Amino acid sequence: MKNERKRGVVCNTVFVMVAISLGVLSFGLSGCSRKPVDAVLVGERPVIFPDYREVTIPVNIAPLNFRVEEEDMRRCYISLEGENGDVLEYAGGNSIRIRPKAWKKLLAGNVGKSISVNVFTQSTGSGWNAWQPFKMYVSRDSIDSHLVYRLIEPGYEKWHIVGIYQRDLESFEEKPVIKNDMVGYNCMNCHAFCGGDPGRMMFHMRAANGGTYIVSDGNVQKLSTKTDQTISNLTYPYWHPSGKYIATSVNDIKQFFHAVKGKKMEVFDLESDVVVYDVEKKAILSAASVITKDAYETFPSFSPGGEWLYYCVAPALAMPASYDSIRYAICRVAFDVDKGRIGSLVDTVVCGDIHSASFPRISPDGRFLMYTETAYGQFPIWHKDAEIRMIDLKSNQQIDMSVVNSDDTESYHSWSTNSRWTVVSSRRDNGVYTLPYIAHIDEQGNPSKPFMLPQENPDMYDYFLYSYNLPELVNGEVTVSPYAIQDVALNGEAEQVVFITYPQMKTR
Amino acid sequence: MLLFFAVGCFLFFELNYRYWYRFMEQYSLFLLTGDYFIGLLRQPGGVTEYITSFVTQFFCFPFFAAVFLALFLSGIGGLFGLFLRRCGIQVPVVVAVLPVFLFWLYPVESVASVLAVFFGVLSAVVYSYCGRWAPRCVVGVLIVLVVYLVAAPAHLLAAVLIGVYEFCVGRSGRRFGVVAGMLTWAVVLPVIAMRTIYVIPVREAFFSKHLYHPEYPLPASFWYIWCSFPLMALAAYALRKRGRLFKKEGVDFVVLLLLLLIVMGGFIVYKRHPLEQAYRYDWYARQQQWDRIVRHAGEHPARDKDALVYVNLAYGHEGRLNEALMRYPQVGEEGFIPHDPKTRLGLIEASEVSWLVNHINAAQRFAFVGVLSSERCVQPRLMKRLVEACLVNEEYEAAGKYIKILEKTLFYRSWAKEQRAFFNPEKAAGADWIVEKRRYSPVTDNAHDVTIALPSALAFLIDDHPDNRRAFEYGMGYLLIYKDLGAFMYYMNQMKERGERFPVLYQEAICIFYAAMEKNPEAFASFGIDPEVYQRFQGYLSQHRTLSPALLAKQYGDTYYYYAQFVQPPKRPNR
Repeated sequence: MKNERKRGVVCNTVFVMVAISLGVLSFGLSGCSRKPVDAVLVGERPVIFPDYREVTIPVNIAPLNFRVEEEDMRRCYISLEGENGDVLEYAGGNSIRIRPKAWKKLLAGNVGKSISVNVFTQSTGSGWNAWQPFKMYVSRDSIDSHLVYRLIEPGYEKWHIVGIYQRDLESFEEKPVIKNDMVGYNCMNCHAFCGGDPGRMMFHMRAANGGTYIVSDGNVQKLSTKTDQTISNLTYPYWHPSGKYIATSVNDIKQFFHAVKGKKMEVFDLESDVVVYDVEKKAILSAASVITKDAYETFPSFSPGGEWLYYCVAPALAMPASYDSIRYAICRVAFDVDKGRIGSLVDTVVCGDIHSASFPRISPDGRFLMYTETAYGQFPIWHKDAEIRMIDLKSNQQIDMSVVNSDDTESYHSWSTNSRWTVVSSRRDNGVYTLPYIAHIDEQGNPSKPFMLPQENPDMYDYFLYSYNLPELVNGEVTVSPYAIQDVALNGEAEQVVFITYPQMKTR
Repeated sequence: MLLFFAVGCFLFFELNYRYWYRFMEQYSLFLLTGDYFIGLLRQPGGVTEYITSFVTQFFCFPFFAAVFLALFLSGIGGLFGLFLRRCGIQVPVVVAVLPVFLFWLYPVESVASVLAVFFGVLSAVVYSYCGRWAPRCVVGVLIVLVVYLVAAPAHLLAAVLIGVYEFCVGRSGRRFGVVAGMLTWAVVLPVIAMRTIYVIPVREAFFSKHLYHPEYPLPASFWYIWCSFPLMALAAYALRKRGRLFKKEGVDFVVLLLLLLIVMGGFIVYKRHPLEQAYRYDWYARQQQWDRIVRHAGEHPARDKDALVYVNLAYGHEGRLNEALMRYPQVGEEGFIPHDPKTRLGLIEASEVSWLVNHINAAQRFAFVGVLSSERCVQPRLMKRLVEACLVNEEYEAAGKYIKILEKTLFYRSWAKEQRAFFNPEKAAGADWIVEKRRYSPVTDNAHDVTIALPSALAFLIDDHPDNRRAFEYGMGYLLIYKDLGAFMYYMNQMKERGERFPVLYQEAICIFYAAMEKNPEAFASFGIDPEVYQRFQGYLSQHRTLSPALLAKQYGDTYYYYAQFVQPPKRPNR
């Protein structure tokens, strides 16, 4: 072949490839303006996954990509029309991916307004159908920029790959905070942040390189937290807003497996107490702890001002025989920040006579107490009846949270730092894998329909075999390097925490 | 000679590791989705894993694994021979295939290892064809980079072989610089990747996580295999001027060929997988070919506990456990179900036995743990079990999730699609297996782990549904093996009240119970003992003191009364 001819073949090939690429790009990304004409009106809203119909979304959320669930669908056309007149269009397959820049512009131009989503579908061998439009409401309240969660196989007794990850809610970027394959395939759990500050966090590792890890100002501490006076290592934590203390439970946790349909597994405590750890003194303070023999205390949290210590408590029934009759109440006790001690009067905030309550979390504005309610016990993740409840602490009235709940498990929840958003762990999608749902809570406590954490590929959840565990909203990126944590875990010596009884505290 | 080696490879893997590779097929799940490809592409060695995963799904087909391994192993041998020639070392092919024999000595679970070695040697050969020194170095750097991304840790092998090549053919001044440079690049590259692209542990950055289970240390065989190539090349280089072993033309070839054939023959005959029988039974179990297990076990007694679990399971499925229980040696509880299983095979067996006795939650639990504890957190066969368990328990959303995943595979797709029909309650009510499982599902909740407290778990199943034949046979089998005749008779009385007929084994146990423990041996008459059983038992009673042990065993060795009197019951597992 002559050189000229070779050049011609190459040029033609390049031209064809460029043309095809441009065609694909224009069709798939920017969409097209070929709004179907003569579409038949369908009197229903389209079924989409995730279900983003009629949800309230923060202005700074990543694109809510979704998939149209229509059988035999060949093509679809979608337009997102803001009240300000901005329109985003898409035409192609059933999986809709919205360009981040255009999405940001659309949201920014419609703050406090709604976006109408019009879906047209065309099935094989038939014309276009126009579905009832649905709306997305763009809230004026922004959400914290990052969500930190543990990804774990929702297993029974074995884990393989576990990691604590952070997701930028304004994009789709997910980064590991620490993964267990970097530290000997141990178990890591119970990450907690001080008032949503990504610079102050703690978590535990169990088994290999076990210990409690506290990250503060880029420094990583490794602590051994089992003392002679406490039942176990520190377990379920909650930071005091001052950052000086961490309230945690100490638990002797056991589990068993059910034999009957509808029930899988039970997690219960043989013993448990609530203790307060002094971050500066590296000590557990007896005067600030609730250690009793006749009751099980667990899942502590502080009020936003730090003057109250909330916790769950139940009478110390014989376990596991009474596993299905033990019910936890939510109580609170005054906490003296300066002296590091609790008061003697205990208030019952939520009774545990009919239902059992766990995970008490007060909104950062101090107005609302959100908790999980289940028929019994304090570990509701395997209880299908578990639901989110909320009390207005101003009026002491329950708020109707039915819009947030589902037929399946709702369990853990966390507040955004501006108190307007909550992230709820729910198994509503498939009953096995816990996924995070974000819900708006207005100033009066009225919740909106929650929406699933958006992903770049809406099919991602279909093939994802991990649970999002303990989703915590934080107002920035966790900047400590995973390798720094790894280094401390592998090479650092765990510092032993001490237990200080009250007289010792006075003399210090 | 390479052809002989390829044929030897085929025979070796087909005859000795056929079921092992069929077993390993379950621990890979190739998905026809873009995200699956892109997810692997983002990992060091991910492309090799993608190819491995694609290839592995065909291992269920006859001869496929053996053909694949024969092709690639002989390919590695051929490429290595070519590499040696490029290095100026003229050696017989048998020398080039010597390192490949290590794959016979240490058969790998994942063919990713084979592919990675193949890519490593191939890249060294490609490098050796680059002419001039300067561009060759640039190509070398690029080759190491590409091979790292595609087939890590093959980049290490490639760099070392490139170093060997330069050592053999390069000019004296430059060659050490190239060797040092390539090795440094190969070592520094994963560190750069760790600090820029990936957040992964050091081992994964250097050696990829796909070759061996990342939770366990790299096996010594990894080092043997991977070091053998450069060491063999250097040894051949050192001995390159030794000339022929025999002076006469062609004798070397014949001797080496004979040696090769003898070594290969030895391997083929003597190197078998120790759990080959259990893997064979696992394969039959996957195909629901319980009769084949029974037939094979009749000719080849179970060699280990795993195989025995499958034999008992097969008889259980055939409804013949009570008939066959005394015909082959039993080891007690662990012959029925693995104790607190942690192994891959153990978790599958636990799920299979739980499914058989209709303990759906336990079957689901062990299937779940079996999936997530596997190297890649996938196990399509156990995912099928999860689908089945979810359908029985009416957990349709969860079933749908697993079905959706299986629908994205080549070979589980049609099965998965079929299961969707059972989301319809009417269809489900018409499926015999669902009806049966639902009918015998536990009613009384209890916390007994079927692998730790088998008798208690079975007792609940039997008490809930006395007509749960599978659980009943397992339960009675357990009691008889441990000679717990008191508890056994409790269930026999229940059977009697229900007016059921007693199998021969049970009749024999009733006979010995009344003869040994009850004052009135005639009381067993109310159990409807068959005249033949009664007469044989009477014969036994009259002869067991007079016959020699060997004769007694020959005549009565398959009876329960012989077992009760002469066989020591197995020790119960530690709880």
